[in-house]
Amino acid sequence: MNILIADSWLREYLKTSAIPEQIKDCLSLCGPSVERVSKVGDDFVYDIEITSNRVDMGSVYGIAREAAAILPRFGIEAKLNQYLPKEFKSPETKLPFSVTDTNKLCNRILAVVLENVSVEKSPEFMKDRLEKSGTRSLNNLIDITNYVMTELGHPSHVFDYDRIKTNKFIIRRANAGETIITLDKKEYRLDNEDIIIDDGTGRVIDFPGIMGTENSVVIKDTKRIIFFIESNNPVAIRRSSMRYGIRTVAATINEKHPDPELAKTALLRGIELYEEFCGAIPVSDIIDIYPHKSKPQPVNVSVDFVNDRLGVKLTKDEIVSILTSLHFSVEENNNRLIATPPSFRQFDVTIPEDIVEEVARIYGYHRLPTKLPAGNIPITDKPKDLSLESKVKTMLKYWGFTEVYNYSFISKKLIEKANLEITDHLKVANPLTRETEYMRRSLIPAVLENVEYNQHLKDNLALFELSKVYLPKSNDLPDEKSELIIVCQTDFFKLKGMVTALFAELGISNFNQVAGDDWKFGHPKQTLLFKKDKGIIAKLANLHPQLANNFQLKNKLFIAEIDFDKLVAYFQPVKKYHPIPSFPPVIEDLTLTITTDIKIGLLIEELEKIDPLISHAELLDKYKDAITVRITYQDLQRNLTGDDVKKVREKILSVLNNKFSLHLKLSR
Amino acid sequence: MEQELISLSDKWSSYIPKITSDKDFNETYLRIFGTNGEFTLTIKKLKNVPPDERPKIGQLANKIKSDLEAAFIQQKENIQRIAIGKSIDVTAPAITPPSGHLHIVTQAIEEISEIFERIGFTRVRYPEIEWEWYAFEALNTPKNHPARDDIETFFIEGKPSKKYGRMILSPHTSSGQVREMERLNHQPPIRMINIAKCYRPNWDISHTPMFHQFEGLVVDRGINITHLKGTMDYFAKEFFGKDRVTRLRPFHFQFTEPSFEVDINCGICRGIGKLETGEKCRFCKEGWLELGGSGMVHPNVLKAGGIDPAVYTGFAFGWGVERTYMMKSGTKLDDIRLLYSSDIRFLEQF
Repeated sequence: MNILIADSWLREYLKTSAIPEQIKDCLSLCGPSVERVSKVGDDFVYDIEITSNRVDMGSVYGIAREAAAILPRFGIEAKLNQYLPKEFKSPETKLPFSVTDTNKLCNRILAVVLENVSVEKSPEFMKDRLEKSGTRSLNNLIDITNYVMTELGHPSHVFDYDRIKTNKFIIRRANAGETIITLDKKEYRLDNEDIIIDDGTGRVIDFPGIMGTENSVVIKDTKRIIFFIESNNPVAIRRSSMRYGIRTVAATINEKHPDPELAKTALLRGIELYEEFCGAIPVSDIIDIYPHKSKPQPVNVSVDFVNDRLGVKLTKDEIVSILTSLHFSVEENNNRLIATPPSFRQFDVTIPEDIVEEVARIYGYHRLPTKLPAGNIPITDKPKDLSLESKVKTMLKYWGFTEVYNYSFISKKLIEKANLEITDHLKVANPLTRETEYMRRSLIPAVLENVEYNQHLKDNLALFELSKVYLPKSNDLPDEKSELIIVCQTDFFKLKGMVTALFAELGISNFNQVAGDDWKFGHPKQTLLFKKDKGIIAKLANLHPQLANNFQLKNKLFIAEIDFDKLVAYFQPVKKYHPIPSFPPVIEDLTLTITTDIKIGLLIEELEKIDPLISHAELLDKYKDAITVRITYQDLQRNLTGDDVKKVREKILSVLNNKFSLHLKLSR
Repeated sequence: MEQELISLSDKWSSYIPKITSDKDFNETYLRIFGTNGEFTLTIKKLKNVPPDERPKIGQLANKIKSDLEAAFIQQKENIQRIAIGKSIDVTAPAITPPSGHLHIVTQAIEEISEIFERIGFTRVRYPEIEWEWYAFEALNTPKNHPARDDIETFFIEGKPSKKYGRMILSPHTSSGQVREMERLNHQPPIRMINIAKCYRPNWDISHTPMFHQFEGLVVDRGINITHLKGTMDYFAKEFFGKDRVTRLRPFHFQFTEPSFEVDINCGICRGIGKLETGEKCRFCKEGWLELGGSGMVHPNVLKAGGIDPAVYTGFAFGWGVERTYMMKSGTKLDDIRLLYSSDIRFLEQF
C-alpha cells in the first residue's frame, strides 16, 4: 500500500534540517521506499510504499519516527517530536452508552460519547493536509477520523449517537444471509464468519474495521457522536474484506494488525481534535474493553548471530545504539542481547532474523561489502532436458525455423476449432478472459493459429514451438510433458528430413517408420509415425484437410509433433567410434522395375538386413515404374572380389523378387 | 604407316588448340598417348615395318610425338590464361544458408543461465501447475495473509490435496525453492537457478498473464548479505556491462528476512538521473532502475525444506526475464504483449 504525506505535516513531528530530497533518498536506502516527492504549492508531498509488515510506518507519525532513526546515520540532524496526548478527565454529566463483546471477537474496543457538535466544514489546514494525503474532505466530524488515521496510523469511526436508539453496541458474528447497507449505499448479504455490531434489537449498525453502515453514520444534523476505535482480529478482517471486495483504507490497515496500544493514543488524539475544532464535550467515560492484551516478546540474539548474517563485524555497542534508536529496549548479557521491540513493532519483530534486518538496514546495506559465495560448488544431477532444449532450438534456428512462444492457456473456441475435446483440458477456476479459460494439452492449435495469422504476411512459413503441455491426472498435479512442434509449408519430405536429421544429431537410432491413419491432426493417408521400443517418438503429417479448412490455411502445411521427453530419454550424447575401413568398398547401383505399390522406406530397411557385407543402401532415383538403389558392399577385413559381390547381389535379387515382386531392370 | 602417322598428327595438331577445359585436355592426351591411345597403338605397329624403313618412320614418330607434346604444353598455358580471364559478377546476391530466429525470451534465458552457471549454479525447472503449498505456505505465507495480495494467482479446478491445498498456476519461481531443497535431499550446498514460466492474472501493455522468472537460491554454511550483494553485482556486471553497479533497498517479502529490492544504476544517464543535455532521464527513476526482489532465506522456508536454519543460511532472488532483458537492450517495447503475439514481423527482428 502507498501513502501520501505532506512535508509540512511531517515536520510537525520531525525536527530536521534535511530537505525533502534528502528525506526521500535516505528513507529509501534504509527504510520505506519513497517513490516520489512532488511539489504542491509551497509544500511537498511524499509518495511512500508501505510493505505489509510495517503498518506502523503507514502514518505521518510513523514516518517521522523512522526518519528520526535514519537521518542521523547520514550525518543529518533529526529528532522526533514525541506526541503525548493530554489526560482525559471523567465528565460529570454522562449519557448512557454500553459496549459488549461477550465472545471477545475484538482485541480491544475504545469508545467515547461527545456532544455539542454540529456538522460543518473542516478548518482549512485540515482540509489541505487531508487532500494532500489523497483523502477527500467531507465534513469536520468525518474528517477528524481520517485525520487521526493519517497522522497516527489507526483507523477510527464516528457514529451518530442519536441514531443508535438503544445506546448499546453488541459485537457479534453475523447470521448467514443477514443483510447490511454500507455507507456507500451498497447492500451485502453476510456470512456467519463476519463480525458486526448490533444495537441490541438485531439491527446491524456497523461492519467494524471495514466500513460503516448507512443507518448509523453521521448525517447533516448530527449533534452527538460516538467516537469509536476497535482493534480487530486481522485475519477476520482480511477474510471479510476480501469476501465482499470492500478494500477501504481502514480494512487494508486493520488486516495488517496495527498496534492495539496505538488505538488508545488515537482515541485521545481524536477527542482532542473534536474538542478543539468542533467544540465537543465528552459525555461518557472512555470505554476500554481489552480482552486480548498483547505484549511485545523479547528476542534473544547474539552479537555473532547478527554479524554472521551481515558479513561484517559490528560492535555490541553499535548494534545496541541502532536498536535503541528504533525504540527497542535492549538488555545486554555478555555477548547476548535481549531486545524487546516497542509495542508498535510487536507483531513484526519476533525472531532473531528480524533483529538482523533492523540492524542491517539502519547500518546501511550500501555500506556492506560485496563478495561471491566461497563454499563448494554443489555437484548434482543436472536436468538433462534443459541443455537438450537449447541444442535443438539452435539447430532448428539454423535450419531456417522461427521460434514462437504461445500462451499456455487455450480458449474454448480454439479447442473446438482444433477438433479437440473440452473435457480433456484442465480448467482455470478464475480465468481472466475467455482466452485463459483452459490449459493446453497440445501446442498444435496455437501454432495453427500462428500460421493462419502470419500466412498473409509471409509465404513458406517455418515455425516451431517447444513447450509444456498439461495432461490432467486424477487427484494429482497434471503431467507436464515437453512437446516440440515443427511446421513448414514446402514439402513433406523436407520436414521428414529435419526430423530424421534431428534424431541423427541426437544419436537416436533404431526407430521404425510406420504409416499412421488415426492421428487427429494428420491427413489419414499422409501420416508417418516414428516408433521406438513400441512407443511413438514423433508424428509427421500433411495437416488434416478438415483442420486446414477450420484454420482457413491457403497453402499446404506439414506438421511434426515430437515427444521431447522421449528425445531426452533416448539422447546419446556420446558418439561411438567405428574403425575407418582400410579396404575400399564396392558400390553398385541397381535399377529395379516396380510392379506393385511398394513402401520404399521399408524396402531400404530390408535391404540393409540381407547380408552383413551390405554396409549401406539408399534410394538414388525414382522414375516412373523404376527405382534405382545404391548398394555399398564393405568388408572390414579384406578386399571384396567380384565373386563376393555377385553372391550377395544374387541374395538381394531373390529377396526383392520374393518379398517385393521386384526384378532387375538393368545394372549400371 | 607413315601415312597413318601423318594423318594422326594432322588430326590432333588441329584439335589441340581448340581444347578449352582441363577435362578435355586430359582425355585428349590419354586418347593419343594413353595405353590404348592412337599414337601408342600406331607405334606398336613399327615392328611390322621393313627394317630399312624403320629409322625413317621412327624419326617421324618422334617428331610427331614431340610436336604434339609441345602443342599440349602450349595449350595448357592457353587454357589457364582463358580461365584467369573469365570473370563473374561477384556483387550478385549471395545464396545464404537458411537461418531462422530464436524467440527473444529463449535468448534471454540462455544468456542468464550461462552467467549463473559460470559461478556454479545449476539450472532447474519445476512444475508450472503447482500446489498452493509450495507457492505460499512453504514460503512462510499462510492463508489469509495480506502478503498474498502482492501475488495474485490463477487457480485450477480440481480436488484440493489435503496436504498441499489447491492446484494453482505458479505465480513465481519461488515455488521451486522448497522443491530444490527436496530434490537435493535437504542437503546443502545449494546453488540453484530456476527459470520457468509463471502466471498472474494481469493483462495490459506492461503485463501478460504468462511471463518468465529466474530464481536464484543459495544455501550453505556462512552465507550472509555480502554474498547476496556479490552475486547481484556479478550478474549485473556480466549481463549489463562492467561499469554497472547495484544497490539494495529494504523491502518485505514473507519468504526472506531481511528482504531487499535490488536496483541497478541507469545505463543511459550513468546513474545521474539527468542526460548530458540537462534533460531528465526518462529511462530510470533518478539514476536507478529496479531489477527485482531478493533477500536472505527466511528460517521458516529452510525448515519447510527440511534444512536446519541454525546450521545453514541462504539467499534468494526472483526476477522477471522479460523485464530484465528489456532493461538491458534498452528496447523499450511499448507493448509487452507483442512478445507472445507470434507475429512474424516481430519474431524475425531477433
